[in-house]
Amino acid sequence: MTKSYKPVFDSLFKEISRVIVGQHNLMEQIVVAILCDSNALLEGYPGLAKTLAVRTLSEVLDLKYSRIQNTPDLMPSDITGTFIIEESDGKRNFRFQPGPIFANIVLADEINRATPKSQSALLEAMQEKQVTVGDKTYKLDLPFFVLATQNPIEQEGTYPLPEAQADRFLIKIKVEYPTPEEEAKIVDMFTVKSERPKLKKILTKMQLLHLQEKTREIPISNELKHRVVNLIGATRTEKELISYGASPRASIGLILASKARALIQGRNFVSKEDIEAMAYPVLRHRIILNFEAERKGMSQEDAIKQLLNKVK
Amino acid sequence: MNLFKKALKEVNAVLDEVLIFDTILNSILVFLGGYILLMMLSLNPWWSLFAALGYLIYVLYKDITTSKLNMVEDAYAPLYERLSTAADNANEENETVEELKKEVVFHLHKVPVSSFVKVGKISGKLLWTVLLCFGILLIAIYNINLGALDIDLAKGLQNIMATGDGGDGAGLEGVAGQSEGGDIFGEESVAKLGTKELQMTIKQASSEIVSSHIEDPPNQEFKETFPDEVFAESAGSFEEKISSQHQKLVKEYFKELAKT
Repeated sequence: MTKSYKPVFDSLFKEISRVIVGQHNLMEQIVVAILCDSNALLEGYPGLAKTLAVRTLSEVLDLKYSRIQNTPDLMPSDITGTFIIEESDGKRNFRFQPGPIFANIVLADEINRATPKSQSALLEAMQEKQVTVGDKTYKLDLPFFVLATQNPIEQEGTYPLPEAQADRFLIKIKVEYPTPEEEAKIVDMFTVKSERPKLKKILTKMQLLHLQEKTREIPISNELKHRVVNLIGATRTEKELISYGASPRASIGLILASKARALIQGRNFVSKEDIEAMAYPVLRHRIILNFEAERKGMSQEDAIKQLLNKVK
Repeated sequence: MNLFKKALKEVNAVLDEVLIFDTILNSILVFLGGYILLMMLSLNPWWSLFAALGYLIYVLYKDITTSKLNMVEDAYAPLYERLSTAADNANEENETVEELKKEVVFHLHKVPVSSFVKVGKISGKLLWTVLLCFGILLIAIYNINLGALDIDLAKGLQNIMATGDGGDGAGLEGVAGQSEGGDIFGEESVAKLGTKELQMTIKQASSEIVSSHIEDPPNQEFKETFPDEVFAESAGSFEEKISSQHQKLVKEYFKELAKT
C-alpha cells in the first residue's frame, strides 16, 4: 500500500522537473514539509528558482497559491485582510476582504524584509491555521502551508527572523547552485522557448490530505525514537559547539519529517538514513553556534554532522 | 494472538535455544580446560566448576538480554530495520503498520533457523570437548604434574642465580652446592664440625615416677543406699525389642559358627 505511493511521488517530481532543472533535494524537502502539514523556510542566493519552485509545486498539486512580497512597509492587514465598507441597498456594511494568506500555499518572498509586526501576522496562520482580524477569527482552508524565502546576502535593512518564529518552520532548506550541466540545461530551457510548459495536476487537495494522514501512520522503531531524542538533547548539552539548542518541537519535527521522507521513498517504516538526511534541514535554523565554533569556521551543518556521529 | 506476535515469539524462543546451547557448550569447554589446568598444577580440579558456573551465569544473562530481533536483522538484510520497527509497533493498528507486519512475517518464513547455527563452530567445540576429555584421562594415567616441574625449575633457576654473573662453569659450581669463595667439598666450618665431640643432654621428663612413693590403695567404705539424686525411672532391655524369631535366628547363626 505504502509502496504504491512511490510512483505518485515519482510522477510528481518528474512533472516538476519539466520546469525546475535539478534541485531534487529542494523539491523533496518542500514536499516533506507539505506532507507534515507544516512550513518551510528556503534560503539561497537570488536566482536559484526558489519562487519558481513553489509556484510550480502549487500548480502540480492543484492548490490555491498566493504570493506575499515582503517589504518594510508591508502591514499585517496586507497579509491577513481587512474590513472594507460596502454599500448595498443604501446601507453601509463592513465586509471582510481576505488577504493573500487565504490560500493553500502561501509564498512569503524575502520574509526577512518585512517588519517583525508583519512577520508575526504570519505566526498565528502558520501555527493555528487561522487568522484573527478585529474580533473575528477565520479558519484557513486546508491544506495550508507557508513557504518563506530569504537570501543570505544583503542583510542591510532586513529584520532577521526571531528564534521563536524560525522555530515554527519545520525545515530550513538551503538552496544550492545547480551543477554546470544543470545550468546549461536551464539556459537552454529558458532561452529557446518563451512559453512555460503546461503542467499536469498530479495530486488533488483530498489526495494530499490523505497523504498527510498516511505520513503520520508510518511506524518508527523505539531505537530511532531514542536516537532522535538524544540527538536533540545533545544540541542543548554540547556547550563546546552550541550555545543555544533545539526545543522538543525539533524532536517532533525530525520524526515527522523522517516519516514523510520514508513515505516519499516508498517505505513503510522510518529508516536510520531518513533521520540522518532530515536532521540537517530540521536543525540548522534551531541551533546557534557559540563563539568558539564560529571562530573555528564551523557551520551549523558541521555541528549537526558532529552530533550525528556522536549520538549513535 | 495474531500471526505477527506468534512469529515474534517463535523467533525469540528459537534463538534463545540456539544461544543457550552454545553457551552450555562453551561452559563445558571452560570446565574441562580449567579441570586440566588445575589437575596439572596439583590443585583440586573441581574448582573449575565454579569458573564454568560463573561463565554460564554471566553469558546466559547476556544472552537473555541480547535483542534477538537485531540478530535476525543482521543476518537477513530484507528484515533490516523492518523487524524491530514492526515489533515496537506490534500493538499499533493501522494500514501501514499492518502492511509492514505482513511483510515481516513473509520474510521471516524465509529465514532458516540453521542460519543461526554455525555447524563448523559447534563441531569444532565438540571436537575440543572430546580432546579435553582424553587429555584428562592421559594426565590422570601418567600423573603429569606441572606444579612439581615448576618447583624444580625454580630451584634450578635459584642456584644458577646464586653463582654470580653466569660466566663459564658458573652453572656447574652452583649444582655442586658451592658458594662464593669455597671449594668443591663445601663449607670448611661444616667439615671441622665433624671431628668435634658432641655433648648432648636429654632433658628430664616432668612425669618421673618414684617407686618408693607407691602405696596400697586406701580402704574406702561405700554406703549401701544410693543418694536421692541417683535413681532409675525405668529399665528396659534392648533384647526385648527383638522378635523371638529373630533371636532364634541369631542363636542358630552363632551355633553354626561355633561348630565350624
